[in-house]
Amino acid sequence: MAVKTIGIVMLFLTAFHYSRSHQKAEDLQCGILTELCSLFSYIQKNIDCFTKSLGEIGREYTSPLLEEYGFYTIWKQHSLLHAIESMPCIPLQTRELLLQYARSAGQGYKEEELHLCRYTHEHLQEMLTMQKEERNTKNRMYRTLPYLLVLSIVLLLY
Amino acid sequence: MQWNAQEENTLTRLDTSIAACIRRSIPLYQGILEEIRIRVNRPVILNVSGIHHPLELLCSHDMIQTTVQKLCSHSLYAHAETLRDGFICTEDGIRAGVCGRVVAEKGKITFLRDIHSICIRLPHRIPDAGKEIYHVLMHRQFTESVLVFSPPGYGKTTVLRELAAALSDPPMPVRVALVDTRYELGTGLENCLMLDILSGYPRNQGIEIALRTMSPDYIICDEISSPDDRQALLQCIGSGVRLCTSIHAGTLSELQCHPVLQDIPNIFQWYYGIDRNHTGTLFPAHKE
Repeated sequence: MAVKTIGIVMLFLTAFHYSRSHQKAEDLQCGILTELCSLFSYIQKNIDCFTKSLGEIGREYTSPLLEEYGFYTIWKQHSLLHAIESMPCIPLQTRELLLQYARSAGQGYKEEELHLCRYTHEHLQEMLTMQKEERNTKNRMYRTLPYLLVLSIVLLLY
Repeated sequence: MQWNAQEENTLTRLDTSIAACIRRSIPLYQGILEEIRIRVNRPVILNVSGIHHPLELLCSHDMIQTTVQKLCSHSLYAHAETLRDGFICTEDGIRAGVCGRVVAEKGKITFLRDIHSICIRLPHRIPDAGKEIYHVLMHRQFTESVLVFSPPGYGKTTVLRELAAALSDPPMPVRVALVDTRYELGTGLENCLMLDILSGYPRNQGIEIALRTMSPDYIICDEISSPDDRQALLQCIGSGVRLCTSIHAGTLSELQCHPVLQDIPNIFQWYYGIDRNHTGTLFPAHKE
């Protein structure tokens, strides 16, 4: 009886830890996407109002979350393209969108740049909305997972 | 040839193959690197102390585009205004003249596309360049104006730059406002004691603003050429502010026929002509 109880507690803790880490990963992806959305909004405003170069924008804007992965340091030292390539935790589709932006950014005149920036920002917003919905669904599942696991084992064993 | 930090910095703004080719060729020449000329399907040309040296590398369209991107810090849009005027000026003071195919609307240039020629001019400090003018102005208690003239590329900007430094720095500093329309004239003068640099201002507006707001003894600007510039010069007459400026003209007689200078009464007391060998001669503007 005691062994079974210890086993159930261990399973519960493992499932809890597993769920928690997945929740954190989902939160991180949402956080990164939110920061990227803010960054693109900032880029857009700075190009529109002050016609600042991408390098200048990169030097001015910082986000602690993105900087944890060295995003701005790499941007300053190399390029935006390198910074995006070096970022982990970005969904594939988002990465592709950002790489597409980084490859074309700075090659056109203001209207083209603003158009490109708006396009990327809008898509990032859509991705963020989807990611948030997905996170809510997944988080519900992750929250109930340890309890359901314990319940099913209890039902099986007793 | 001596290689300084600014020239090294310039190379980082070029396509890597062009930069590598220049690096290899530099030890072969004696003198000061004045210009780098890059054209599609033509060799890179270095102007070292006035002599043109074609290198073995033929430039491709891609090399030019990469260079343009690097000169613009990968932000072409941020240089749209100056591109329309035919040049790119980098954050670190490098100035490149460019030409390509323009898109014009109602006779006005809106965009420059397909850049196929780049001319990078490397500004240099030559401390003695404005010495003769400075001494004459000093003997006249800084109450006279001077107009520097020569054909393009003979060193007018260098003379004005050195004169600005000499006038605004000890031992006898006077208040100088420098109207640097193309971010070229003020290069290297950031630490001059009494110098205010109006960077990027249209020349006529810069002169007007300097006159109204900075209370200068001297206004220095480069290459007066348009009717607007002429209007700005007229404003200086009777204001007590002296001018040092430059104009394109080959000889003194060409200068005297220049449309910008027609009907301007006694604004300049001295003309300073620079010849092919970069040697300057000072002429009194009005015979006494």
